[in-house]
Amino acid sequence: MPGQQNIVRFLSITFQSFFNLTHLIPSPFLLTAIKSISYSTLIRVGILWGIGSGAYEKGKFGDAWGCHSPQYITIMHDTLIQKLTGSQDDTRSIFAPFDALSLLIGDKNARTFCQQNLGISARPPLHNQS
Amino acid sequence: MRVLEIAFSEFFLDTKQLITEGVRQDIDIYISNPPLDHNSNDTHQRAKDHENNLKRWLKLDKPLSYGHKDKNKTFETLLQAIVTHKEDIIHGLPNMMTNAMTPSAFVSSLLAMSRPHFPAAPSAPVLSNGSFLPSLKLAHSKLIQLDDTKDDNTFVSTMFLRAVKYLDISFIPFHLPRTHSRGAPNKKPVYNSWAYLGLQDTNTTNPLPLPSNTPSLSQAAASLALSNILAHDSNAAWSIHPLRLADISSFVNKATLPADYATPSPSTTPYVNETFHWVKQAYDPRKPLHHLALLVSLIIACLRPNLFLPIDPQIRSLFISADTKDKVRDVYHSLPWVNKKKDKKGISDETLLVSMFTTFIIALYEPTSPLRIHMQSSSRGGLGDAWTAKYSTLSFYHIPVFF
Repeated sequence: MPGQQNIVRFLSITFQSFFNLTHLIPSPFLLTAIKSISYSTLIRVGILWGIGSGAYEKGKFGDAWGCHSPQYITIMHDTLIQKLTGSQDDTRSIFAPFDALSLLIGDKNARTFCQQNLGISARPPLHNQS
Repeated sequence: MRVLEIAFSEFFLDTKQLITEGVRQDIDIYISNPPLDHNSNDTHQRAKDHENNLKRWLKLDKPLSYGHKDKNKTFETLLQAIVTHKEDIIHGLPNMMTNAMTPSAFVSSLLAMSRPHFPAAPSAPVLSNGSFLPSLKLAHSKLIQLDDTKDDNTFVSTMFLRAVKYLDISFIPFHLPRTHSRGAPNKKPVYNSWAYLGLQDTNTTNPLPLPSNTPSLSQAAASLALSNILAHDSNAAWSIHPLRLADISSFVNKATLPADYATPSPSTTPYVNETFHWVKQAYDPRKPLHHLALLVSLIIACLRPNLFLPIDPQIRSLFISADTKDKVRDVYHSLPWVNKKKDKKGISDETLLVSMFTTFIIALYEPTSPLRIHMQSSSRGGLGDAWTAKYSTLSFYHIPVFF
């Protein structure tokens, strides 16, 4: 029947439209997110400093955590560029992304990420770590 | 601006004429003297490819843009039209990697050639007998008339720079390399020597490694050549997405924030929104802190969703005895990066993570940022609840759902 077909088509379109628009509707079930942009994350990667338990949480700016000196930042910047571009590396930059990551989060964590499909190769360890 | 648009359209016409003559001459020589290892079919096919690429390039409105942000593939098409031997395509346009200048230097040379009094002799990319030079002179004099200040070249120079950016002029035909032989130095633009406008006003970074000599198919080689020149060109538009750690080295020379630098949804508290816009406006890649902030943010974003510390009540106790900055870093380096909870997702959009981390770092370091001003005026000297709610804690967030 043409009338029934129209109703079915209408319901079908309405149903599809609802799901196509769900990304615009705030819903605590669909849209819950936790953000990681905290000062402790920035201490972890070395761009801020921290001291004591305040470096982990509830620290006061200037006492438990804070900004590095401009000299420190310049050295960190130059070192990161050097690592990223592999400019002082004799391995044709194969390990440049690993070296840059390692500078920020430490050798151990960088190696862990390399095993998690990050698409980069870890530099072979200098010593046998048995 | 219209007067400059007209002038530069003449520049494009002159350039197209120069390239057409050069490429067709090259095709004739190629057919009459084919490489020894090529048969007749190969030679004619290659000549046909050159001609097809040339015709495709001639149709483009912005023939000196990279075209990597649209479907035109401008640079790759031109490259395939100009470079005779397939194995040379990977090196990009001839001499381009050795001839680099800032857009300001390019504009200065155009202004010197077109000024009303004592103009400099025409030199690459301007042809002495082309139609660009007279229209350039006319545009220059019209802009001088429009300039109310009359005191220096700032207005005219700014308008030229805007036109260069608007018309997306990223590379130009250049003269042949200068030799140490006698006679006047080469100044005339040629079809087989190029320069790119990719330098920042001051050199702040190390050059990237040169392309490898791995043999490749011509299209793949052209794409690689484009990637190489884009990595060197500080002023070319670039995007974060899709972000891969292995690609970050190609962003090192960028002088601008990425085109897809995302804006977080607005907060109800003004200083949170103002901080984001303040940082976006203040961003200066020549400042080590700003450049470092962007690079660190790009690297952190690659680690998503594992951006958190494990949930363990013992962790706090590890920090109590960490009474120096180095000890704190050692503790952090000993702890794994994990996803917070399996039933909740962190921010998965890398563009938003990069913009929020960059904002946070620069705002903390710059004493005049709205965030630091807020911290100074707050009784506890903290970031404020609105900031913490926006950047660090559990909140509603727009995660696209597609069906």
